[in-house]
Amino acid sequence: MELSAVDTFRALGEAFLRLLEPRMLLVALFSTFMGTVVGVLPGLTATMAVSLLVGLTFNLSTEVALMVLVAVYVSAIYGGSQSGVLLNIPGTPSAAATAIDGHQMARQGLAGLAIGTATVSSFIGTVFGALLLLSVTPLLARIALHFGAPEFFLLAVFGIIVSGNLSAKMPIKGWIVGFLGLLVSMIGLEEIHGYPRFTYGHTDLMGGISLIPAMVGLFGVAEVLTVLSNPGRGGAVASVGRVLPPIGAVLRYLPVSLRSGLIGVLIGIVPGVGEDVAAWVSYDVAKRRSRAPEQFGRGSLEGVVAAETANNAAIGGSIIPLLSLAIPGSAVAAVVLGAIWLHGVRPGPLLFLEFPEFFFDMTAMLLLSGFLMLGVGLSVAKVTVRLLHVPRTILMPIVAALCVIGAYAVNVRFFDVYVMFFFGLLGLLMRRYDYPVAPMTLGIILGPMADANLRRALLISKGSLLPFVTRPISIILLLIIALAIFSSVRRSVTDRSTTA
Amino acid sequence: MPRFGSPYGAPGLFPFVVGVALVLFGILLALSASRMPQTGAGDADQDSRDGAGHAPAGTGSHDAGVEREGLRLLVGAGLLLAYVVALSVLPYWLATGLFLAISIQWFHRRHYAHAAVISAAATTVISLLFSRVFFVPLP
Repeated sequence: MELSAVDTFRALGEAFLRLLEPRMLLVALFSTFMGTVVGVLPGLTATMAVSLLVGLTFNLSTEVALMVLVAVYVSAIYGGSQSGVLLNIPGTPSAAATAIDGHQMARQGLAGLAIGTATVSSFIGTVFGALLLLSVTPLLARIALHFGAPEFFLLAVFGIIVSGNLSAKMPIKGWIVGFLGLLVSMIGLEEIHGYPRFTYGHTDLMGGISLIPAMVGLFGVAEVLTVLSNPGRGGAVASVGRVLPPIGAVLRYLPVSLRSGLIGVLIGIVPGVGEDVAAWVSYDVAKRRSRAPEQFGRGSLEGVVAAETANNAAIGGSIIPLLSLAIPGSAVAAVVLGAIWLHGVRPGPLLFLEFPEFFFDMTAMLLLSGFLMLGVGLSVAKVTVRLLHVPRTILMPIVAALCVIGAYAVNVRFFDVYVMFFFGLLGLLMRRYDYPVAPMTLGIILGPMADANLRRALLISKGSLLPFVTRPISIILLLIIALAIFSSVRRSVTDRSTTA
Repeated sequence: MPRFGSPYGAPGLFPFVVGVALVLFGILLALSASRMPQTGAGDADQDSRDGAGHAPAGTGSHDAGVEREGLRLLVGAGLLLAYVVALSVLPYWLATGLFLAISIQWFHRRHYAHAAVISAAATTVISLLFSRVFFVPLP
């Protein structure tokens, strides 16, 4: 399974050749454009768009469907920066850090430079992420071949705990929703004995709660209802001007780009934590390491570069654990994982044996999406920003109708539409009370893995917990979990003693 | 719950473990909430639960804004629920057209013809695009 550098690049080249047929390119180009539009429009997020598209592309071939999803993923994460710059409203949550300095630049009449730099930075980030995806994934998969049941169980718990720590102001709220997600995934027939759990005799519940309708509800319906309840005013859109950034500016900030890319990939790898956190961390690091930190918040190009490179680099990062461990690195990656499963491919340590071409196809798709995003971003930015004039009170009901089709189409089951509605209301409540959504999606997707591996581990050890603390990788995972819990519990205790 | 031989492979084991963890997290959360100062960060839930009884003295216009937002939220959720239910009774195009027309009219508040045209166009595009181009089965 070990691949030399030459083999790797040859396989990647072959994957590219498979993509470079007219129909595929057309699909990719159209998806990139649509993804940028989704990113630009506040209220339409990357997670929402990708979860809707899983159902809508289900009847297409695996390659075409995944090309659509990857292209939309990449360009929607990028597109958010445009509305962040022009309106100070990030089109996707991951563009919030970009908006700080980008919008200040727009107010100084530099909107074009900010958007152009954001576009190039997103491109550098995407390519950087794809290259690390190419080199790190096989390594991680090789390590994961040594994983047994205890490791996979702990990995699932690790993902939920860490995701809760990083995505919520109060980590415990993140853990609670993550574990509730695990419980949701228990509904239906379990995989070892085929015994129905939490079904209460309902045949619809036997099939379990599907991930995609739940995600469409949590991210789509909840967002639609939130925006409709308070649509706000569009605000004046600044004129854009010249978009192509001067090459000097790009080169000057190349070191910042590379550092931000690395931060983005690393945060992308962490389960369930994605593009938005990557952008904030990278922005924060750039500010502290900058020679002109006083410019941050007043229109620093460096700030735009740091945030925008990191959020796109996180995409490649989030696909690394997705392909090697079947653990999604971000909420969008969770949806992509669901889609990959639906198309009959099983990511995980055995991916390289069972579907050797798939890994290279995904990498090639990511790279291609990066290039298309650069082209589309630089050429049609002036067109896409016009869409900001479309009133959200018209757009959101249409999105609601799309949510219904998206939820229904995956299993052609009307029950899923009710599931979507239920999770939409749940998502609303969670937002209202400051519970993050990402850990719950991670819980729903990791539940079956955690459940089966815990029981398998205990069956093999005849009930002994020793394997969890004697196997080296297990110990490391346990220590990280304990540290994550301990540190945030301690932090909340000390916070209290200082504020009380 | 049945054990199927060994208690370690029982289907109820994992939900039990998760349940215990949730109880512990719940206790932790309750403890931290009870010790938190009333105006501390992260107690949005307290604010809202107390909201009905003794809300902090907000200005009248602020309260009205919150009320309007709540009403819009209820109407939005209600319309969506009605749409979902209508889908199992009416044909797809009719339910979708009605849902779009009513919600756009309610939230956008322009001339009736405006909402009617937009919803008819959107319904046609959605139905044709997904059934003919993407081969997606419509509810």
